[in-house]
Amino acid sequence: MSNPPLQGSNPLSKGSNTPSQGSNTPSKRLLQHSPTWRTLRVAIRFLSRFLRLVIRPTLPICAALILLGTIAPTLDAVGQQPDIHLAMSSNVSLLEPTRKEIAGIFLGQKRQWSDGTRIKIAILDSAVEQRSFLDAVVDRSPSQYWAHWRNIVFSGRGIMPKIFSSEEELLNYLAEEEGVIGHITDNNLVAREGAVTLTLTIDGVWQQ
Amino acid sequence: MKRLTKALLPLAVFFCGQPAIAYQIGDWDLHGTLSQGWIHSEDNNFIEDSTDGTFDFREFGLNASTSIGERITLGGQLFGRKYGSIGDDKVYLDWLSATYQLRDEVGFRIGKLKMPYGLYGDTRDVDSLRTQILLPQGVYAESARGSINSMWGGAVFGTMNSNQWGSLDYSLQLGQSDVNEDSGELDRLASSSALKFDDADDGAAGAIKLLWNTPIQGLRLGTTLSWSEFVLSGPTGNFSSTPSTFEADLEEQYFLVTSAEYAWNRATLSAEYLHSRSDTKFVLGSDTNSAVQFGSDASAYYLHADYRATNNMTLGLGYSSSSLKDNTRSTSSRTDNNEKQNGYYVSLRYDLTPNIITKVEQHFSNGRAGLFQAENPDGLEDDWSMTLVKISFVF
Repeated sequence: MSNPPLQGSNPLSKGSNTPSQGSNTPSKRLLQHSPTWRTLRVAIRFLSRFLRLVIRPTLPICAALILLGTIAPTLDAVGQQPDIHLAMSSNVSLLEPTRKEIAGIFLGQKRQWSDGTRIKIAILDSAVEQRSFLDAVVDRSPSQYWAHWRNIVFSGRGIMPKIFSSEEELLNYLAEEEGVIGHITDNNLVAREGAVTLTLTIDGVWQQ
Repeated sequence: MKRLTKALLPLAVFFCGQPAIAYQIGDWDLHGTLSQGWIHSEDNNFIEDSTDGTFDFREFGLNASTSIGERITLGGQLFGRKYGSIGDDKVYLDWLSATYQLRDEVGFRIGKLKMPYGLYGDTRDVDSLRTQILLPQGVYAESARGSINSMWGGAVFGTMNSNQWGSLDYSLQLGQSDVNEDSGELDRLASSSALKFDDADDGAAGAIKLLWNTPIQGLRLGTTLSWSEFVLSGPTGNFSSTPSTFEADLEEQYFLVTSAEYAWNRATLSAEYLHSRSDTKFVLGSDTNSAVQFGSDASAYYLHADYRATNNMTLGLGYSSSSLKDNTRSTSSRTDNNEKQNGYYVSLRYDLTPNIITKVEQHFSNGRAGLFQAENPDGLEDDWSMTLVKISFVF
């Protein structure tokens, strides 16, 4: 990145040193000369030299291992995939959505339904449910999924999905609001709310 | 530091007891981040006092957003940081915006907006969103972060979806630059020249972003172009033999970043290339005849690989290279000042909980670009290294 041109391009810049601030305060001096601090510094120097001597030459090997590791089986146990169900507000019209469309909705890439209603995403606050659901629908782990949304939120580009501690709460929200799409585990619960459901079949197709 | 910790610790403890993802007050969603780091560099001070090890490396922010009706969203973010001599824990308005989403393809946003910059520029404030502690410094130099952080103005943005071609995110924003002269960043940049910046007059600014989510799953290609103009002024100090004032008019400063990212299984590979240019007219006193034109070109690139070994642990490895070329047009003041820096880094991230993230990182560098003479009074070494440790809390 280019620094403003005064940095380094000025003939007077060389040799004109500004004393660093704050390095000579009594508390810092005391800290720097304490035995704990000295031991810590020696340990860090040792670690730093170790990393420089050992890790640096092996960086290409590490890179190769990382790439190879992606082909190897994952380290986390993968259980049998449960059925994945979605519930939607009655105003939502989504007849035969593709997997890509549903993924786009849950990733915030699609923000409005065809009638202009805002898409409101509802997700259950359960690590187990989130893991299987997000893996099947958006191919991400919960931490990746929420990191994706934090990217959007902290840069001012959107609002996070709502989290519900129970399916009861989620279905109440779905009944009260228009444009809601949420993850549920039991689509029999939805019948009484008059909502629409989608189920991900074993063939990877969303069906009503 | 003690006062800051006292102020933020109860807040962190309070939010630790809340749901992992967000906290709500009425219709407003609240999110926040707080991170504290430690830097120890060998041979050169990367930031002030880093050869002694320094804790002057932290960030904190609070974000609120709400929606009104089907199409309007309001939001804002306060932010503060301490990065060596920069920031001093002062809180500033990071962004504040109102968004009207007409359709997926077209939306409008006004206010103080984050400037698009590469793949990760608009979220670099939030440490927990990446594996590394420091984004590759050739492309994402911390020393010039403030001048490309945000701007006042308006934007048109949207996403074009195609079943065949993937989707294209675009945004175009225009307005006025917003340089924070109190952050200490400008003083640090000028520290080697004995100049002191007293005032910054903002000028035109803008940015274009195109990000193509290709039909190949996990592959994103993008480019951002951001530009800004501003005028810096202040006393010359002992820069000239007779005390006077100066004016540095950054007539043109642009950053073009070309990006590629490929996520495959548990690995993510990314690469970005930056080309930037700045042209400045420097005037001493009121004598415009004494104007000197400075110009510099910079280019940088990096390659980075992430591997998520387990759901909690991610390894990162990267190589970054940068060079700054002074194109001073006035032959009388031309200096041989090509600067370069390249180096490797290796990072380890471990998520203790979804809200608490720890990281450790080691850098091995060669070159002096991005380092400051005033912070290294005994001279700069070509080969140097750096260890960083950071803990972050986010909700």
